Amino acid sequence: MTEPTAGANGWRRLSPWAVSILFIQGVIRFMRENIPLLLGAGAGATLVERIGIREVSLVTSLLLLIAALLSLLYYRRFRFRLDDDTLVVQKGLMERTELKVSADRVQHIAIEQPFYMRPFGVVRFSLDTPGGITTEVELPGIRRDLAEKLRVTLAGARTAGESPATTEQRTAAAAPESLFRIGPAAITLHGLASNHAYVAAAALAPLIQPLERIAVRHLEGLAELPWLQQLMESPLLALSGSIAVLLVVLVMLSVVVSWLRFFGFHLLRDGGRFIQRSGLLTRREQTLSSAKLQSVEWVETAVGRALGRGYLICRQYGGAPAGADHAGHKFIVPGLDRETGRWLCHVFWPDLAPAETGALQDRAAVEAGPLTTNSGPSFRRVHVHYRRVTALRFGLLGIILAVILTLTSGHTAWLLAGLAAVVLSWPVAHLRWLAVGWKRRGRYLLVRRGLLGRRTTLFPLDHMQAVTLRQSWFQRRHGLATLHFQLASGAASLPFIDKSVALALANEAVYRVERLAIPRQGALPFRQCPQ
Amino acid sequence: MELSNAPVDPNNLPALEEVELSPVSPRFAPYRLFSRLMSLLPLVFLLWLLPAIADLPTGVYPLILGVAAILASASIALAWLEARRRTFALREQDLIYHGGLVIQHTTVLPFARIQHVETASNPLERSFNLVRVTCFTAGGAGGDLVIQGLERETAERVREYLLERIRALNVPTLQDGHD
Repeated sequence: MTEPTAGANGWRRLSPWAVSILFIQGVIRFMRENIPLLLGAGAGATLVERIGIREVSLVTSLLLLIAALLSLLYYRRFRFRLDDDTLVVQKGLMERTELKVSADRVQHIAIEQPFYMRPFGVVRFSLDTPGGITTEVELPGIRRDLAEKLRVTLAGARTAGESPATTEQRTAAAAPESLFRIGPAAITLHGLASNHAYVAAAALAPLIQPLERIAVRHLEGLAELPWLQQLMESPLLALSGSIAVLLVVLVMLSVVVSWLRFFGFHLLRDGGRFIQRSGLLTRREQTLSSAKLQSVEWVETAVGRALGRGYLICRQYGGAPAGADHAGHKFIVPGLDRETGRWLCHVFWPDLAPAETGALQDRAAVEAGPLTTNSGPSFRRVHVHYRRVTALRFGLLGIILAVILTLTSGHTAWLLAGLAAVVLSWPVAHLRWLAVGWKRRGRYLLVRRGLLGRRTTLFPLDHMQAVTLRQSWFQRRHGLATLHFQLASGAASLPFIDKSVALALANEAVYRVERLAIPRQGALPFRQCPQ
Repeated sequence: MELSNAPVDPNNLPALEEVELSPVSPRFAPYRLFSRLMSLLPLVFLLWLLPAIADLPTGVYPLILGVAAILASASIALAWLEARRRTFALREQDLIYHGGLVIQHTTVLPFARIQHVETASNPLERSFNLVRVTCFTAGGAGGDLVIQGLERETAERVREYLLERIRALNVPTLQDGHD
């Protein structure tokens, strides 16, 4: 197939291969969205039994034909062009939509190549802007060289404020600097430590009912197995065996997902932006502009803490978590040990390094990193009243739930569960209190939270959007307050700190934001504005 | 990337705690009272229907009515008292809003972070000549600040002042270059 070139007024079309890609994507999306519906409660099997396999095949063929025609129509109506540093996209089947995105508004670019695109040499190009919850613009099938050109033009122009041509020349001349490359052991450890297991369990949830039906259907045959008979005689053994098998399966799935997602992970720095490439089946390339970086999160799960492994999440504008969108809002650097994590934080924000260490890029110079308590000034704990209040909340919640469940079900055993919640509330609150902490590092604030794991958010104070000081009646009595920073990438809270400290932090954060804004309009004195 | 990391003297910063806040309109308290009464109407309807839809033992219905009346009265009283405590202040660089009765909160929103400003009022607010001003930020719903209880003229002045300050700061909005 011949690839399209720029037509009149610079308009371009997608690659002709995009028709088949759009078709495959549509079918995959339909299957993904409807598999739980078809499998759940045996709806699919019932449908085939009721209507007949020939009729179902006929309807399926008809649906596939309609999908193919719609893909062709979508392809014909889709066009895009680059006006200097503005990407213009026209698309839509029933309703024509024109999107214009200028380079300075782009915060995240992703180039992906699923395995079914590889034979055609085309990629999926997507980008998002601040404020967009889902992917803003997607070009579902363009040549890789064209995608690279778009990336260089859009990402380069916004980082340096220079012309696209200059950016292209600069990028071609200077090779990106390699920062981190993942190895097989690190991917496996990341899989073991990450919470993919919970995601896998959630994904497998729709299969529970069909599996249960199959198990019941074949129970008579299975009941003759001697080992199963032994298990049936000891319910405790059966339960612990089932849980162990489930855990092993979930952990293995987690490792597999980690390999699929992060195989060949490579992080590079190219001027003012960071590029990551990864993926076994779907090759993914994400670009992060350092100017748009709002906060960095260092995550250590409970298993990760034991293994000494964690991962970094670089967050930009948009507090919503990444969903199924291709560009997403998360820029994850997986499989890191603590030293590499610390060093990368300093790479993302060079002025995070202590002034006395000098060379910012030297890994040895950032030994006293900000992420863990075993180096540099330790995290400041919040007031012990936080532990008391957390225990009270947890205990009360347990009692209320137990009373409601007892009244509705009539089983007094729920009251015992409520009592257990009251007993457990103190150790849980203590673990929570140990996890919550904060510390300052220059213009940066680090906020840590968790229970068994740890999640540390690192952000410059001048990146806050708004700050709220909250005081309950109890906190007012004890001179405490909760400080809530709203960032463009989410929120960070410091609960139960001294009110004077909270006010000082709030005043400084506000000052730092406003000081950055003043040079644009000339220095203004801080004084009360007349009402 | 900004590499500014100059030391800051915490003793010379403009202090949030020293700002004198102005109360919102005195009409806001009666508005909150009516608003709370209207929000309780579905509950009143449900209580009225309760004897017809549920077979309650003798004496339970008056007990439920009594508890509901106490809770509703407390809710209305708290709404009234809370409305009277709402205050706000405009400084040259930011907006401060204070509210809450049991849990008190003070929010500071620098003008440099405001993307756009919106004024809105529902029929009940209009009957009290009240308007609410919403300041939208790039922080999503959690970062937006809604100032309730301003009289129409005050709200217009606040809106104009905010827009003037945003223009002076030359804050790039989300709409720039993207439509």
